[in-house]
Amino acid sequence: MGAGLRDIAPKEVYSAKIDAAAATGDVTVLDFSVLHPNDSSKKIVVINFLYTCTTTNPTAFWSGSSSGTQLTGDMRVIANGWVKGGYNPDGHFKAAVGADLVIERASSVGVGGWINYYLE
Amino acid sequence: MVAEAISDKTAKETKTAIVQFSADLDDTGTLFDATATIELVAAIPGKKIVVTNLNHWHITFAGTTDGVAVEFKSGSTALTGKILFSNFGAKNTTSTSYMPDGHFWTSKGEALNMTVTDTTAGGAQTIWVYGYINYYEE
Repeated sequence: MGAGLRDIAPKEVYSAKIDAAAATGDVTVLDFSVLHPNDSSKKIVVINFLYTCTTTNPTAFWSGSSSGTQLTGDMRVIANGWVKGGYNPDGHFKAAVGADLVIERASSVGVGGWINYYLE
Repeated sequence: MVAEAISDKTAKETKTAIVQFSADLDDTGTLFDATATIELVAAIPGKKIVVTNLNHWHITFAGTTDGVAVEFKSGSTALTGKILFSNFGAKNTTSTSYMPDGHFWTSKGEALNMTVTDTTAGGAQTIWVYGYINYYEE
């Protein structure tokens, strides 16, 4: 469970940039072992994000990698369009324990923005 | 105004800063060739600047269907990737939702800056970025 409706215990919220030039393939948005090397028993809970896409090609969030668990559908916007998930203290979605958070790009697209999350 | 953050339940004084950028970036026809940086909130000694909201944030530029990118920075360190705007119908407006813990925040004692990058391939043109942000200090 996330914070908010079911768990109001204080959380430490993190912010990270989303920044990748146009290409095909996975973007590791949050590298768990680099960002949180001492929290390997926890998982990433995404509570807010905003990024733009340079092309109409879709993007999707995955846990671990694009061969792991898909967390969202393929989200497609117009070129330079926005993908936004407003503040959701319970979490829009969460990665597996100790897993990276990845944006999959099946076709070439650049992404730029930021993401907020906590660990639980 | 008082914000309540899930990571910090202490009361905050929320403030407003205007985003009002206008410049004729010298575009030579090469992508990512011209930038300008403005200070949105001056550095506060010993304090972080925590951005909780960006509202009616729009960009206008002449002509092309290419994009103009905006990055937010703590001093000179990027806090976000390059966020792109197109010139749909002369304006492309968005707002973020309220984020009580902060969408992003500066390091202590550093200014909140915004860098605008002209990614269009047209000639020199004026670019406007307007709107406002909300923030608190901690």
